[in-house]
Amino acid sequence: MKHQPFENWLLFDETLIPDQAQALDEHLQVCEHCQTLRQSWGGVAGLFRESPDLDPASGFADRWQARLKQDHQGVLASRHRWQSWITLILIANAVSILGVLLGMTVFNTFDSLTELLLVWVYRLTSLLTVINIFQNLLAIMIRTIPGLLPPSGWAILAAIISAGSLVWVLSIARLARMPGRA
Amino acid sequence: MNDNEAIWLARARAGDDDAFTHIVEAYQKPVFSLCYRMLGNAGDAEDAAQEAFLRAYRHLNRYDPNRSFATWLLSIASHYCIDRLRKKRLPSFSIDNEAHDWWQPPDPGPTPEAVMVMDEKQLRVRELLDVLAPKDRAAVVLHYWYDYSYEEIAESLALSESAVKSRLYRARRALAESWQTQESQMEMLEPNNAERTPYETPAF
Repeated sequence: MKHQPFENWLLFDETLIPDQAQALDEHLQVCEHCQTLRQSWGGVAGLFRESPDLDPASGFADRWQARLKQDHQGVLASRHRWQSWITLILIANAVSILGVLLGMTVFNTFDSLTELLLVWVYRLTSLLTVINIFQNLLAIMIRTIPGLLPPSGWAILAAIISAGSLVWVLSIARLARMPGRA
Repeated sequence: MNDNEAIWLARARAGDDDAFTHIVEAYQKPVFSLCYRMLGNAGDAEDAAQEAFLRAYRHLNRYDPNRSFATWLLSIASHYCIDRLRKKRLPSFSIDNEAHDWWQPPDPGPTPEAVMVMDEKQLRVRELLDVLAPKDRAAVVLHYWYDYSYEEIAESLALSESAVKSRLYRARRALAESWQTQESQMEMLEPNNAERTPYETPAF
């Protein structure tokens, strides 16, 4: 037995014209398959109608607010992470470019590696000579300064410096205790 | 859309989180319900509903005020659920039926018997919807629980109207067949129970 177009009429949710409705009724009286289909679909539609909307657990909006807050924090953290990475990459690039430029300058200035080494040895020797001169000057000062004043003069100078330091410390302590400077 | 809703939406667009919370309160039930029908359990439905609201909030500047906000919001929820079902291939039916703790029957509080009957119905609905492909399921849910027209479903699911009609036709057939299977399974169980007298139970 042919079930078309009756199956379509049963399952397409559209209004039938009177002739179609009559043909369907006549078919249903003799076709068990289409009768079952109609009953089954009727059962499903009825169940859907009787099944109400569902409520979420109470406090849904509060949980949403918490989630939104978490989302905002996540977005901020992600943005900070990106900013940090971009800064690091920029710094690394700048350092690399500077390194390359410095290297090129050095190698353009000196014709060979031996010349470069000689220049560095000369600079190191100059630096050591300067340090030696300062050391000698310091030794001369240590030997001559104590003889400039008698021992009593040094004692008076030490007392003056101590008193000055004490006054300074006390002033600082007093200022720190003043209201509004906590 | 009522005036309050328009005001809340305008405020939310200006970055007022609290204003959008009013929208969440107003639409939590339909969105959760849609997600529950789509995903089949309350835990996933809660998560999906929260995510749908979050997405709506993030993309609020894309919302066209000339359209229905409910349609736009439910469309976001539907697409999210469809993607989730496709990606994770979630089984929407579980034996332990953990949904009972989450599902709260509508007021006034029903009797325990009514809750049991309602739970059985929900379970049966879940089993029926489980046989449908994600997009067909969304079309069925929007049509039968939200009274969406073919045009609105097409708009929500980014389909043509003819595609919606064809999907609903296919879904109705699948649902009717699944119903028949359920009925025959129940018939197979019922005669045994009816024939058994009290003293024939395993305890005796």
